[in-house]
Amino acid sequence: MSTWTVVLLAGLATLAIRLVPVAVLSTRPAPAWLERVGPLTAPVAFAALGASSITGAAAGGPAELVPLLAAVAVAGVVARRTRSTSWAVATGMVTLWAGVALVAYGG
Amino acid sequence: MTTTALAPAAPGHASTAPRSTPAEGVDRAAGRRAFLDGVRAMLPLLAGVAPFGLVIGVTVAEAGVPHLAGWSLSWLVYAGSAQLAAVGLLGGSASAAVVVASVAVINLRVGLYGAALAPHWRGTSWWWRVLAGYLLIDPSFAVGSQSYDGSRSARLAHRHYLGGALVLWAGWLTVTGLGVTVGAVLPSALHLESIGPLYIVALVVLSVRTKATWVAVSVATVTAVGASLLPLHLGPAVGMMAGLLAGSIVLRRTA
Repeated sequence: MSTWTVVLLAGLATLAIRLVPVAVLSTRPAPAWLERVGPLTAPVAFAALGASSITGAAAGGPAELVPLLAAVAVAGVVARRTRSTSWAVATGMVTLWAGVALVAYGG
Repeated sequence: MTTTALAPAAPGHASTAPRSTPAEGVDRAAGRRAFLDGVRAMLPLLAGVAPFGLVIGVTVAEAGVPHLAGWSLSWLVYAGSAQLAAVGLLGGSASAAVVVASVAVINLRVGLYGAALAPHWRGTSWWWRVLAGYLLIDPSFAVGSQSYDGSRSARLAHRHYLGGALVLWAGWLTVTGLGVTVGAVLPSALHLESIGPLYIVALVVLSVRTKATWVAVSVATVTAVGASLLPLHLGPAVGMMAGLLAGSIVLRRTA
C-alpha cells in the first residue's frame, strides 16, 4: 500500500473519530467507559510510541542507544523540573550530541 | 449559522446592493469582533504548539517519508501527536493497519472533545458541524470551551470558535511546512530525528499526574518494549492497549 493511501486512510479514520461523536452524541452523553479512559489515551499513546522509538534505536547498537538513553533521561528530568517541553528537548539534544561525540572519540 | 455576515461585498455591486440597516451593521460588527476575539484567544496556544509543528515537519524530512505526503498529514489528520506517530511508523515501514490503528487510538480523545461540544452545535447546518468537527483538536477545544461558556450568544460563540480554530489550522499547516523545508536541508549528523522521541518523553513526564496515569504509562512503556519483537511494528499498539487496560483497572478500583 502506498504512503499516500495510508495517509488518506489515517485522515479518514481521524475525520470519522471527530465527526461521529458530533453526529451521534449530540443528544446523549458519552459512554462511561469512554469518559473514564479518555484522559489516559494521549499519555499512554505517547509512552508506547516513545518506548518503541527508543527500542528501535537499539538496533544500531550501544553506540546509538547509549547517547539516546542519556538524552532521554536528561529530557525527562528537565521536563519534570521545568515543566517545559522546549527546555527538555533542547537539553536532551545537547546531551545526545555530547554522547555521540564521546562515543565516537572513545571508539 | 450563515457566512453572509462575514462575506465582503462583491466589487462593483456596492451601489446596487441593499443598504444594511443599523441593526444589521451592529450585528455584523459584533460577529467580526467575536471572530477576532477567537483569533486573539488562540494566538498564545498557537505559539505554544508551533515548536511541535516544526518538530513534526523536521521529522517528516528526516524519516524518509515523501515530503508532500508527510506534510499532508497536517490537514488530513490534523493532530500533532498522531502525525508524529504516523510519520515514525511510516518511516519504519509499519503496515497500513498499524499506522491507521495507532492514529485512531491516539485521536480517541478528540472524539471526547466532539462529544463535549456537540450539544452547542445543535440546530446548526450539517456543513457547519463538519467544519467545526474537522477543526477540533486540543487548542481549538480549549478556545471552544471559552466560546461556549455562556457569555455570548450562540451565533457569536460560533464565530469565536471559528476564528480561533481557523487561525490554528492555518498556523499549523504553515509551521509543519516550514519544518519539512528546513529539515530537508539540515545534515543527518545533527540527529534531528531524535527530537520527536525526546518531545514525546517530555509530554509523557508532564502528563503523569495521577496514579492511574502513572500505572498506565508504565505498563504501556514496558509492554511496548517487550512487544517490539512482534511483526508488523505492532509493539506500540499492543503497548497502548495494555496501558489503557491497566489504567482503566486502577481507575475502576479507586473510583
